[in-house]
Amino acid sequence: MIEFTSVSKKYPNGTKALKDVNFSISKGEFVFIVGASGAGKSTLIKLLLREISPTTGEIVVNGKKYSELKPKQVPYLRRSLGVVFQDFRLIPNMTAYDNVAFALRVTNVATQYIRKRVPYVLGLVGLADKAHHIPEQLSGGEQQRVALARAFVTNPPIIIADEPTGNIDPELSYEIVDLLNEINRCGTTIVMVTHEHELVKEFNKRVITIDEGRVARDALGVGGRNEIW
Amino acid sequence: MRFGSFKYLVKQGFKSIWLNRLMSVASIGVLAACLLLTGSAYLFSVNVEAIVGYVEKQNEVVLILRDDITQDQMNELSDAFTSVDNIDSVVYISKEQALEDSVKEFGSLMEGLEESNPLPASYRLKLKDLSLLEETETVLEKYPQIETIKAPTSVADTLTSVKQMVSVFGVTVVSILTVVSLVIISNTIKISLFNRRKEINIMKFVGATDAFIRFPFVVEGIILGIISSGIAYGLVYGGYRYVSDWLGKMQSSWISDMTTNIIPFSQLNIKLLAAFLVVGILTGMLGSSASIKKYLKV
Repeated sequence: MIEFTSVSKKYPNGTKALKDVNFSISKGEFVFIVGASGAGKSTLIKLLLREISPTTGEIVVNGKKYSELKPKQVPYLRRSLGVVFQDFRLIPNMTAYDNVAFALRVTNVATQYIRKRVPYVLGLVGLADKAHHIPEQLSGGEQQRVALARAFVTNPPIIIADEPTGNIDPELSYEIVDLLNEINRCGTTIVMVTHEHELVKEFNKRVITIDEGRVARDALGVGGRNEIW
Repeated sequence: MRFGSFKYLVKQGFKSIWLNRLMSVASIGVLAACLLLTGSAYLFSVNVEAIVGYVEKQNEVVLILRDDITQDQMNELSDAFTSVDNIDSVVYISKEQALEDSVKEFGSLMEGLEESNPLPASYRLKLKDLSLLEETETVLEKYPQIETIKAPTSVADTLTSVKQMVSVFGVTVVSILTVVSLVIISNTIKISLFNRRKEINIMKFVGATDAFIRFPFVVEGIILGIISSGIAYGLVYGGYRYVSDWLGKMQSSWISDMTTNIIPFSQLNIKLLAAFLVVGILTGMLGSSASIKKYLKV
């Protein structure tokens, strides 16, 4: 489903963010990507979203080789990737309903489908009663659940969560990862970048540790005492 | 594109005008002001030209003919008139006609001159373009049967320089304003795009195509253009009527004489409105789609 083959990324300023990264994530997996700040996690996400291109190496997602993708095809690639960001990235002047519906409108689906699908998804994340609140009227945890609803309203095969719990209270963080876990149970592949040791321990999934631009460890659950993050 | 999506995108365009109303008002203000100034400059120069044209028509060139002119020489002159392009119309005034006219004008003073009429026969020429007076004069001077040419040389010079000044002034004002309005409008749109860069960024991440992202902004630009041209048109209409009324009430005879030559607004309105709409819509559209490019690179 997701394959990184000898991926390296060197920024124009000379920083080598990733060095020869190899891993493969299969359909239906739930993978945590962990590592200290500056280890290269953000670069990895940016590459996955095709915000940037690797200096060398190949990325294949859903059978699509990124190196062969034309700019025109990028929007269609992104429709198969639900994204959740640390800073939520909701549109401030739109209601929760509109923020979620937005992702569907972009994909050119029928209005009737949007009217059915959005309330259903908002219900799944437990925000049916707050559909008509704008982001600033919602708590951090609620905003992130709206963002999560937006990420999977289109039924993408993959959801990428970039530190989704970074800006919300610890007790609500569990809730978010639990929701991701629920989505994963329905067959969606989840890639979650995080800092939070406790969460990773709690959910006991595959963990890819990035250190200084390399894959330092790729195994189930948290590793030994020497984990730096 | 589905009709549902189209409707949604057009609605988004309208909505964002309202949501960014301060910026929208600023854009409309700038665009309307530029259209207003450009329109006024245009109307001003069109009218000055009309008035100059009127004054030109009032001025005639008088050719005084020699008394011993033969019929052949007369014919030769008539041929010459048709060959000179700048001559608009010719009126022949015979010796008898000239005397009759002076009797009418001066009464008994001129009576009793029928026996030995001292007045010369003449041609009164109206020219098409008074600024070409000199060239026309040199052509006519070659004919010996013309005794003297009376031409309004100084009037011609003045009018020519007025005409030149007005057209230079018009072109300068219009071009400066066009540049200024383009700069300000693209800046205004850039600011409103900057305010919404997050929104555009999110659109990119949920997989919106560039065309989809651009559409509401273009709709917005078009709507702003239409509103601005409407406002500018209304102001120009009101201002034009006010100024022409005011000129009409002036006591000075030559000014009120001039006002009869002001082009009625009804003759210009369609042209002006069409020009305003085209310019307004184009600047709005180009401004928004050009400035958005930067934000589409994600």
